[in-house]
Amino acid sequence: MSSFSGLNTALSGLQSHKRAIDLIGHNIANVNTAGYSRRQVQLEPSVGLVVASRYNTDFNWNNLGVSVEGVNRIRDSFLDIKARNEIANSASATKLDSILGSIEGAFPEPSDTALSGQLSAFWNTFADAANNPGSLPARTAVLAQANSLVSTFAKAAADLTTMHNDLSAQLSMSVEEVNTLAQQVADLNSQIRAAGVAGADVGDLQDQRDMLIDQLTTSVGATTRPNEFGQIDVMLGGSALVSGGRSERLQIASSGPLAPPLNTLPLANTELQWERDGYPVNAFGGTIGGIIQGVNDVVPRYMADLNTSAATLVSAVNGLHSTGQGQDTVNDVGLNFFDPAGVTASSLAISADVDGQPTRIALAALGAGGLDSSVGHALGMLGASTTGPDATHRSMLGRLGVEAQTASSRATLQQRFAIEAENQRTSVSGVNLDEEMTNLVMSQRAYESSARLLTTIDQMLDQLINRTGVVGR
Amino acid sequence: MITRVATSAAPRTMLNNLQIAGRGLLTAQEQLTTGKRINRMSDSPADAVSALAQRASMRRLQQFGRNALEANSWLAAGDSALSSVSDRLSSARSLLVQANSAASDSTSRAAIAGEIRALRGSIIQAANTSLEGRQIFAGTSTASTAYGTTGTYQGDLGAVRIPVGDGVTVTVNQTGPAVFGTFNATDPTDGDVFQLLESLAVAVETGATAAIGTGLTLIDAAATRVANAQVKVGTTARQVEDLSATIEDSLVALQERNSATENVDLAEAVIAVKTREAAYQAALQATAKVIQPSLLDFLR
Repeated sequence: MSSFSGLNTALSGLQSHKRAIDLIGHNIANVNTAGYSRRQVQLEPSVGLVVASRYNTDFNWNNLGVSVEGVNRIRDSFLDIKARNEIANSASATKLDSILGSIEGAFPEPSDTALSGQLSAFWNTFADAANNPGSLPARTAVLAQANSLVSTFAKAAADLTTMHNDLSAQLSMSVEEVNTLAQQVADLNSQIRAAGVAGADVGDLQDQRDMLIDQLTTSVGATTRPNEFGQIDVMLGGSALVSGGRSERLQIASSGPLAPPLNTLPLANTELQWERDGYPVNAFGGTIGGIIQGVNDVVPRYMADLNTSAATLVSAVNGLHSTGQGQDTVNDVGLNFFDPAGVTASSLAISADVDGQPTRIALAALGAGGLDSSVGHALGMLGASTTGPDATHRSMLGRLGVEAQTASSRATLQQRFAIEAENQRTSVSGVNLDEEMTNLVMSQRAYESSARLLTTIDQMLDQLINRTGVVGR
Repeated sequence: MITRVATSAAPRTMLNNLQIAGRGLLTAQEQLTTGKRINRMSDSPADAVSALAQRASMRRLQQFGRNALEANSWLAAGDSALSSVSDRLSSARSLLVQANSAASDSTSRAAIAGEIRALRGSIIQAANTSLEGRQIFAGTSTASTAYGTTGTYQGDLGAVRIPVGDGVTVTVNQTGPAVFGTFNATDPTDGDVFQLLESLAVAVETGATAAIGTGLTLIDAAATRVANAQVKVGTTARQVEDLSATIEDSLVALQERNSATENVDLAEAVIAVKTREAAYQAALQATAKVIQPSLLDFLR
């Protein structure tokens, strides 16, 4: 037994606890770092070289002390999967909620100036003109209100189209972002593998990779699968987006018309594909999932509904208007009020037959006197029709309201789930300052004690070297 | 169950709660400042749809109200024209009686005939009553006058029908022939009131006593026709009046219902804002406490 062996024990304590304090400092420094997983120093008693021997039952007095066995990165991959799943769901629900919110913005109902109010006003101008069929101002008012109605339809259609274009642009950007993220995850996988083989600490690289995978799942709703050498594969609908150090690219492409009954719209179905072979991605979610649902279903559906209202308006008004006659009983016969070719909200237009020619508006029945107003009054009553444009538009607004309300409460709920899952995840991997302070105190005391040990041994040696054997000096 | 709390978890949860409380406050404030419970369809889809239907019904009822006003002016104009026609006809009748009874000479007969012709003229004038530039006895025609100066009908037999309620349409005009009789080219005594008066004036001039005698009966028949027309106008006016009262009532009821659907109860809204303000402040205070005492505060 060496006289100085105790010094080494004290040294190992000093060194190990200094490391532990450094690591606590690292944890505290990263308390607000997103995606940081707390580290824990793993201390183990030093084990000397012990030759296993049946008769060697003595305590091993050599190599006493402590050593840092490693640094653990505290993380629960099960909670990771759960949190990512909720984050992806929350991202897609939030996106849908915002899309439906914008659609609601295009239909600011209930109001007197929005589409349903415009329709009511339109019918009333017909009734007013019918009360005074000889009056030019009353007839002109019909055309003016019709113009306002047409532009309200066109505005709503333009709003929806702009929304669709914006979403498509967002989609391209998000897919580009996913491609970049996948590439970065693959690069990190390679680095982690190389560093792992070299025996270096890969904790920070893993944190960075987990952050990127979080972003990937938020964007596209990917799942993960562990690969060898500490690498992680990112899967998308059963195929690998990232496999080890390789990543695939995604692309957006049109694949024919939208699903019926939306195939009448001049819009193409948007598909998320593998760039490698153009095959569609089977399952996806996240923001991209929400946007694709928006561009392929939600926005086109309300465009189609708006078009139905416009078409109903055209057929209802023209159906009555063409049975009547204007003030010229010979030439103003069988005219359409709205252009029969314009049966969508954006192409809705007053027909050239009556546009700017109020006297040609058919208020009188065919063959009746010039001041007959039966057709005019019938047009004025169209608003009460249960199959007319008012009812069509109203039922669309009802559907929109219900869908927007559902989307909003679903988004709120999903956000809560996501936060709950995130809290669960950080309850394992996040830094708790109280805990760090406690550990700091513990390590500090251990360090102090090791130093005291050193002093004690030093004093012992001092006793031995300087004060022993000086009898009679 | 979370056993370990990461320091970042509390701010995250608090922030979310703060946002929820903030949104709640915003909604309550929006409702209070707009006075509307429904500011967009998703606020309450079912109520919003009924609100839209109510708004459309209110607009329609308001239109019915305007239509009823229009119907009323037609009926009032018709009634006053018919009254004056009725007065003229009874004057004509007394002139005829006078011409028939008195052993009047040709001078006074000529004077009576002149008066009858004058009455005929003023009946034509009444028949040409216009409402906002439109002939009320000319049917749906665009004729500038219902009867020409010679008493020929220039209008048509069209009915002016105005809807004054859901499924209720009233005819507000009487055509010339319906009130004044039909022109008869061969037998003027069987023709309209203008032909009749002219032929009676001739009869008075010539002293054709028998013709004057039958003329009295014919004048009575013409007066009955006018009276019938007046009754019709009166009945219709009554109908329109009743209907517009009903429409007024349902409009008020509808407005109340719509207000109940769309508008906030002010007291309720104020309380909601106050409650949510308190909730928001509580959330803020809780958040402020998130910068909670940690072990650091107790370590020296």
